[in-house]
Amino acid sequence: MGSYLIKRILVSLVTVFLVTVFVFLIIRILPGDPALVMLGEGASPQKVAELRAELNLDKPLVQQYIIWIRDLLNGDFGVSVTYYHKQVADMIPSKVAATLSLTVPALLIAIIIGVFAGTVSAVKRGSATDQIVTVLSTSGIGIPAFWIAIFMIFIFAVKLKWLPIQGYTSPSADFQMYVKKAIMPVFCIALNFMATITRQTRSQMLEVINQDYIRTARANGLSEGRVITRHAIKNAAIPLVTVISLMFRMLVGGTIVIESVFNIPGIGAFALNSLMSRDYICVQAVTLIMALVTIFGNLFADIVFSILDPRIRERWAK
Amino acid sequence: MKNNESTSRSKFRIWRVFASRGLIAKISFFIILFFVAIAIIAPLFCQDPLEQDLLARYKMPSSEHLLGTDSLGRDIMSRIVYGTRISLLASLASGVFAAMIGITLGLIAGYYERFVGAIIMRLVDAHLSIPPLIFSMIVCAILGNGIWQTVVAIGIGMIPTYIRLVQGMVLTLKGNDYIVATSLLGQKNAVILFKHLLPNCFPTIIVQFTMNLGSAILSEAGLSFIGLGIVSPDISWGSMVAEGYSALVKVPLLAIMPGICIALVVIALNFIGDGLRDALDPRLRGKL
Amino acid sequence: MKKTLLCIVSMLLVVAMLISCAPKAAENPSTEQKPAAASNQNAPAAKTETKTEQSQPNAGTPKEGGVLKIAQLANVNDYSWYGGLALRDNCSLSFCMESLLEYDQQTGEIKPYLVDWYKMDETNMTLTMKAKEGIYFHDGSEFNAEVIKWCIEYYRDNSKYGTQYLGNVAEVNCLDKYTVEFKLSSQNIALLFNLTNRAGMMYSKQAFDTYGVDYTYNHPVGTGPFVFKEWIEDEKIVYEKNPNYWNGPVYLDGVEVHIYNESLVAQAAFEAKEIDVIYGENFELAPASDLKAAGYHWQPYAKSEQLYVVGFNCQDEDDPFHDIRVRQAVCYAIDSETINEQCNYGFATLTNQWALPGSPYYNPEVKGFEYNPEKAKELLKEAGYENGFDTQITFKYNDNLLELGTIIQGYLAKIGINVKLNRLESAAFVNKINDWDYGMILHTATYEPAVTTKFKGMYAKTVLESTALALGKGCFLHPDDLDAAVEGAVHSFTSADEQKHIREAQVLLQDKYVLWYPIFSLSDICFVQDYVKDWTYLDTGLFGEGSAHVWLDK
Repeated sequence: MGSYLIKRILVSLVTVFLVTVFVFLIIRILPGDPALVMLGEGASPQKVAELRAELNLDKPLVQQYIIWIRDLLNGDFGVSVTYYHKQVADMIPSKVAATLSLTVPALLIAIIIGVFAGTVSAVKRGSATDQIVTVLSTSGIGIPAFWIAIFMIFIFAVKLKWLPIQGYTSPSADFQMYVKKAIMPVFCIALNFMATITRQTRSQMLEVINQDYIRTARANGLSEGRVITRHAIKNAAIPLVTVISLMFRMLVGGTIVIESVFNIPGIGAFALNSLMSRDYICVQAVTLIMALVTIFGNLFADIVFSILDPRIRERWAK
Repeated sequence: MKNNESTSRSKFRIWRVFASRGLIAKISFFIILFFVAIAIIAPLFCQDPLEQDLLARYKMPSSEHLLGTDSLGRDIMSRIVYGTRISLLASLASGVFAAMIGITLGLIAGYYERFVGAIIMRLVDAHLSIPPLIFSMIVCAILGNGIWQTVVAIGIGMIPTYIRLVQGMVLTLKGNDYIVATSLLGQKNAVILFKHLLPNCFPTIIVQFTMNLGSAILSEAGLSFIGLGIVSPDISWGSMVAEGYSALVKVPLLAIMPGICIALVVIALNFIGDGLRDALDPRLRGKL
Repeated sequence: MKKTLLCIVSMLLVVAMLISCAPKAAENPSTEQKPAAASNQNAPAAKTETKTEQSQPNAGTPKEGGVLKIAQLANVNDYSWYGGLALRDNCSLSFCMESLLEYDQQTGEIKPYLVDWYKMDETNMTLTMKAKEGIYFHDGSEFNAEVIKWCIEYYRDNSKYGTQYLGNVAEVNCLDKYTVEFKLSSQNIALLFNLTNRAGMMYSKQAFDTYGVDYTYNHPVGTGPFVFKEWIEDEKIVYEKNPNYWNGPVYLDGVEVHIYNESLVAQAAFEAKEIDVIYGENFELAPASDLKAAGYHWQPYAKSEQLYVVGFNCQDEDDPFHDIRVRQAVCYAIDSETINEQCNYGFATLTNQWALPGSPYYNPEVKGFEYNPEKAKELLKEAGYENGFDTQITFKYNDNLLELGTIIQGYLAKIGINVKLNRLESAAFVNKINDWDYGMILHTATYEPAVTTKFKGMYAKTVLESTALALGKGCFLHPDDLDAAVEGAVHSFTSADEQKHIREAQVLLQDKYVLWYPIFSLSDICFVQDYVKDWTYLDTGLFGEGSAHVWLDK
């Protein structure tokens, strides 16, 4: 267990390093001179040169990278190029909170409904329920989330006027308004997750149900319900981990278009706006944070599930 | 001789199993066929999708314009049909691009497990930890708007999945006796990779490729919707949804029709992928 | 089998329902447009009409209380008073900042505002003014000559527009506690006008000294009717009533400026009475026409007149646009009249030069180019481009410009020119402004009524030499006669003289050198609920007083 932990953490650190190098380099390839962008039309060449020196843009790349890492470790994510000269580190927490307040409920709803629907569908394989669930879940993967968002806005907000069109209210500020505004975005985010989880659960359960030990449990006289809950679900759950760890990417990074459509001040919209404004400092910070959340989320999930399933540890020992 | 027989038999078997998946798989197949067909014969029955007529903006469906006109007086139906071309081509091209690079790297990573493989897999991990849309957005911002730029942006995003897939399979396969024997016999590594290992990976790759076509279409639609992918005069379903969004209250058809097309094609591709997977290798059911 | 068929059939039913549910198409735009066209012919006259319309709801005594909610479709970037020029920031800044002078839209007169009087001495080249006594900033510090001196000097030395607007202010001296004297190095007829804008805006020197320059980026501290309270990025800016406002009374409790991303959403919020005002920058014309048709009160924001123009890269010898016949061909190939009639829902004015018909800067002798694609093809053939050529048009990314760019692409395709749309985000676009590589630029330029300053920034050789970025610096021709006409206008001592020089420049610009093709002129269209009374900022653009006496009749 100990060696597995160390190995796993080391691998994560290497990944983190690679991500920082990657983010650093790719932003520097973006066209546009940041100093010119900050000072804008009418700036004198001398002022532009001064600002470039201030932003360390005239130093060699390796040195710029080291300065950046050093600042990061001190908690300084840089000063935004276009967003009112604010510290990026000040702006990010509230935006991450806004995104998480939508993706976490979405993921939870998706897991609950997905597992339930997938299980029911597997158990009642071949029946009408199974057919409908299969069709719906495969469709759910195919429908573009932004299109469903527009569709829902059109029906529920414009035509029926049941829900507000856009916007975001933090749950701590006004919980009722938060729920009203969150219904449509959460549904759109959850749709894709739900469909994938349903499909995965269904296939996992189908495999497990046909295993010998299930037959034995039934032969021993256990009721069908007990068989499912005690044996099948537990064993089918573990491979679901792979699916759920993929979802970590989506927790912070998969909501860009939805946030744009619903005008939610989350991290995705922030990434989009920064990219569109060529605010390379913000883009750098946001991409890095998203990557770190994913990497450490996966690490955590792996460790937790390696406790549950020793086979995972063995695979790593090789 | 024997080989030919078995392959033709297996092809027939593939179609039989695929068809036995039910009506859904067959319908999906014909949906895709339908879209490909209209994309090919588009010039025969469509008006010029770029022809603007500012005096005929936002017209309702009529005999002249079967689905009406958009904000610049262009025929919506023709634009959807021509958009089919670009959406399908772009997804196909990005899939091929990703597959070629991903498979090669995956083969290398799996075979040369120790050093090269480890590096490649860590790079893949790093790549996969960056959310896919952010990644494509950044690449689009660097490359600019346009069809091939979008193809590259989406393709790059799909490469890691191929690498992981193929690497996993190679790891299992290379322990097989006949592979060990071939290498002991002095066969060149490149030949082993491409002639012996690769064909065994084909079934899985094909299924992944089909699924990726669907997600490529979704990615292209998303990118074009936020303004990064395809731009006029090229027509894509995603940019049509973006154009239609501002006229949502006036003419909802503009935004809704392309969305329906996207959904139909992607869902059909998913069903086909499911069918292929069951036909080619049912053991994969839980994994893809 | 049955189930899947059921699913498919139900999907088809849904589609059919949607098609049948689609609302009526927009009424034929041309019938809507004709009545508006009549009033748009003479822009100043139109403004008088709307002004009386706006002042008519004066009936009733102002009610105290309430918060004015404004929807703004453009995000705020830089709040420092010396920072930018952006109109979007002006709307919110107007609630808390004020300028030295005010510009009367109706008479063209420049009146003192924060000062009691001002005197321009042409012989000695000085401008003297006396600050009003008893005015205090929001942080309690007093407004006096020292503050004026500091603000003007700081703007001149640190703003990117400092040289352009206050470049001729050589020295500022405090004659006594409230009187200031500017020593001018040269005549610039636009100086007084500039002092009615950001260049003349007064920021609290005490706040700057206490908190430093970074504070000014997001904390406006002025003398205006509302005090800045907080700014939640991408969401809203909140102001509170200033109880000690010198030019009171202030009726509202506060003002909130909400940032919206989508016009559709702003439209719905306005109809639901969630917001009281839509401030028009970036507000698309289609939802605007819906609101207009629904009967809501609308008016253009007086100081936001923007000219939608196509500019050509004439400098590059390899570029086809180096040849004047090619530029003329493009001008003949674009049908600006149809574009204006069909796409602008009657909100815009057709013009063929950098002035509005009816304005003193407008020269009726400018011939311009009527829509004549045959002539365009002839000119291309003459210039040697019978088979057309490939080029691109660069523009800032917003939906209106994208549509316009696509329309231009369509027109030019008819004469054989293949235009690629090169749309750039505002940051990347800023870098391209002075040299857009090749081809054309599609720009929205603010101009009226500061046409002279605009021309100075683009054609005056002295200005071009000292700035890194100026519109068209690397692409336009900078001929001597144009330079002379512009300098003549800048150094005039009377408005009549200035206007004469500018009219000369218009002919040179449009007919002789064909540097631009103006398509139409449009100001930001603002919508105001009927119960919002006395908000004159939209009419006058006056910082401070324009927003001071707003009240809500609710």
